[in-house]
Amino acid sequence: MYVSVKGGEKAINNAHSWLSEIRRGDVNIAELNIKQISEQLTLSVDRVMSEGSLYDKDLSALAIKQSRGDLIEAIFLMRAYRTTLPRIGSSKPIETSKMLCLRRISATFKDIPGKQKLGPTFDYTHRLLDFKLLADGEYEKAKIEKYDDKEIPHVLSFLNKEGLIQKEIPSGRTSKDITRNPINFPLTRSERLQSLSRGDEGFLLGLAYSTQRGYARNHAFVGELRTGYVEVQFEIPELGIEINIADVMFTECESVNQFKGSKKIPAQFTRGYGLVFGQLERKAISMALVDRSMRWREFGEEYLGVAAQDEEFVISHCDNIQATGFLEHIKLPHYVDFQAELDLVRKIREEYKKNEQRT
Amino acid sequence: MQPILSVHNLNKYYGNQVGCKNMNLTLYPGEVVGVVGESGSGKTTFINSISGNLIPDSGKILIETGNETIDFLEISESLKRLLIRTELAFVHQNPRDGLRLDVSAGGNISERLMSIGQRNYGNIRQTIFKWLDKVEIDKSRVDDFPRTFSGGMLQRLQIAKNLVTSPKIIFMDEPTGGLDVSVQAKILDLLRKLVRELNLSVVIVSHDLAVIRLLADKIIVMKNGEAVESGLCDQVLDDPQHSYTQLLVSSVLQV
Amino acid sequence: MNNVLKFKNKKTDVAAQDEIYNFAYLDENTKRMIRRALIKALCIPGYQVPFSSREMPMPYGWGTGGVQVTSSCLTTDDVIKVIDQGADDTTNAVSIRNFFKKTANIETTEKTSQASIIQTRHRIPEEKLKEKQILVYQVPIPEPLAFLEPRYQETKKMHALSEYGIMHVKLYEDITKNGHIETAYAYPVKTNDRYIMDPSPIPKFDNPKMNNNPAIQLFGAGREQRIYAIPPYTEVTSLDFEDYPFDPSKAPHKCSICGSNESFLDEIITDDDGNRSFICSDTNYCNQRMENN
Repeated sequence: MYVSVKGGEKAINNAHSWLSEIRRGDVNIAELNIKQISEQLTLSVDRVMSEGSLYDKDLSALAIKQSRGDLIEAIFLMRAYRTTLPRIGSSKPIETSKMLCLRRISATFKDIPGKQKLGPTFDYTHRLLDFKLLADGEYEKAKIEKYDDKEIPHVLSFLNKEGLIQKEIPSGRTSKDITRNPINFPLTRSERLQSLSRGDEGFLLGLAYSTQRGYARNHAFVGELRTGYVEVQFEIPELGIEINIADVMFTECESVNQFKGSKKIPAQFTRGYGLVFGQLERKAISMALVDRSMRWREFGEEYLGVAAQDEEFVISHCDNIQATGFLEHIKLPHYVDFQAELDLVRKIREEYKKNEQRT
Repeated sequence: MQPILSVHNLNKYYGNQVGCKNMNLTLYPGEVVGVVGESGSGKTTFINSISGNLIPDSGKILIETGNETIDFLEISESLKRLLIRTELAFVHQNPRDGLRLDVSAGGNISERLMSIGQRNYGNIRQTIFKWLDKVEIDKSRVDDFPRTFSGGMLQRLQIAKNLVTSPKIIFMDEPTGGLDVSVQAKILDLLRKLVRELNLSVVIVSHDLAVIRLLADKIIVMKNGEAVESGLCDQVLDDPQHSYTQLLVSSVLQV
Repeated sequence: MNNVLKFKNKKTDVAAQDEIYNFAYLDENTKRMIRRALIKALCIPGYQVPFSSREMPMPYGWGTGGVQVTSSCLTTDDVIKVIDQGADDTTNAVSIRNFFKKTANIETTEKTSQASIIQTRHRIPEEKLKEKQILVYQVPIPEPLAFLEPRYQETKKMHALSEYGIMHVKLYEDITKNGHIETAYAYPVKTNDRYIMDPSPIPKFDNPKMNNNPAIQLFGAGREQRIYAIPPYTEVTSLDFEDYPFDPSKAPHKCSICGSNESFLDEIITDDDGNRSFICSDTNYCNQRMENN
């Protein structure tokens, strides 16, 4: 007689201990420490903070260690932790014009006030594996120069002064936090940008790429890309004063896109916007291109039915935690639904056979 | 007798450009009103504006349901969509715009029947066969998908799909445009038969005078977004007053 | 158990394994938000109420909606049962039950009759539920029209206007192709003669249990951020045609353990030759029958 299988709980416990061992790896090799991760795998830490929507380098490094380097798993850990944190209030909107820039470039002008600053970038490196890195120790030191801390104005503000680029008009509304309030399509731009900022880098990269290749083609220029530290200010209501609670690293991208005009309004450039934690340029630029693509209605452009223009498609699928959760859930037992299908298919086939025999 | 549809002073602009302006129309039950004009005359804008596909900028549209008079532009969107589903019908120039291509021929026809509450599969099937017959589509095609149909057949299917619940007002936008001349003739014959048999009230738009002459009782001639002449179809076409109407009439190929 | 939220101060000090959670994990504001959504949902049977789903410690798609609903309903007196595919011992049911043990410290049970709250994935228990019991369903895709019309903006209107044409067209097409409606699970239902609802991927065999049920039925979809509900004694009918009535069939076998002819059965492949055994999917029901014999 068949005896039903048991032991789910035991199996889970065993699986967890094995996971713990394998996460540690060979005990003769030194264990990774959090600081090593945050100092030397900085861009992974930045990505986990950005898509985890939580700026904390140590926690991010811990998440990466715990998840064995699976960044989406690490992002999940950050998000779950974030859920439990109490909300004290909102900071003032950050002033990226006051950013202490490590890096600041513009593709639209050769030279600009504040100058082009290359900063620490991979851009012009030759992608050759550096075998010196197999051994520890040697690295090139940077030259030190005094930082001119005069405020660096945004390139687009110059275009703005001339009326050459479409003005962003403040909506006057307070932004709704998409992690505390349900969102409904159609979304406001603020809700879209929040979603994009924490959206999956790979997904947005693919969509942005598609717009460059002709899927609702957009002729984007990088008006400005800047990476650096910005003060986050918080007003303490009881004291009525503002304090600086943190210096956070952001990467901001403002894209300049093809102009539009009509008989009433002379031609102007339009824009897209990207903002992320850390030094994540690929993500910031992708975000700007996809943002612009979804603004077609605002600019009276044609809806070509491509993915990058489709707000509901982009925003419903850009969250990698939702995506991976649902994707991976198909590993869970589905034998009851499968059984229901089996029963129905068998029934239909039986009837088909009966009908065939009759004719 | 009350007109089943009356349109007063309807205007629709695209930015600064005139779509149609100062348009009026009265449609009595069982009547066919034809709107004729060349491309760019505003006739498509007009028919879209009075059928609920576009929202006009100003004007009044009154629909007589028998129980009450409905101010079409003032009612809620839910009531509007209900009317569009049940009492109004729209036959598109391109039948692909008026059909579900991923649904079988029978499925397409069944939709309006089920939207008014029919729940008996057998009865629905019977009605479907009856209508396939009426529009002269072979019954054996009932479970086939529209992508296997010719242009003429698609148009017949669209007509069946729209008429199956006997809607009060039917709007047709160039129902024979894009079809072969011989196929056109057959579809026109079919339409003429159905209009007479079912006493339909129709607003039909076409650039082709021959189509209008064959089907319409009354005619509105449009040019540059406005009506230049209107009246009884035979009268206007036999004795056109406006120079543009005269031009249209004289340029129709004599068969 | 105190309900006070403990404020985690210095993040690097969080090396300790024993974190202190609010009762049943969610903070009180979140529970309040979810309860409001539940009340609204109960007032409009079958209507999908949007809610702001929180990121939970288990992945989206693995029951976070159900967990959030259960968490918002739990009190210290509750006794909870968690099943997946009808069984208490399946891995995900074990995991979720442990989650509530850890974060709420409440009594758990495998007996349907003893539970005040039952969280379930893909099955309704065979044993009839009573008044005051709450059944919480885990829902992957709350929108019954999703496979016909993926856009939320369109389906929102269709529900508001009762424009269910394409649903009926699909049923028509099924019968035309197969002589049967093709849906075997997540079979769409009409609640309170108004909203069409997805009952979650329960086998159609279970659909009749939803009708006129004395218990409260709550549905949580975490990833899609929707909650819906059926209050007690509500009419729930499965969509069909008059001449092709809904058929809640199951495999024509008996359970090879307890002999029941009336419960939904799991098919087990018992050897390499492909021989099969059929046993009750609801393990508690099967065990009770064995105990009583």
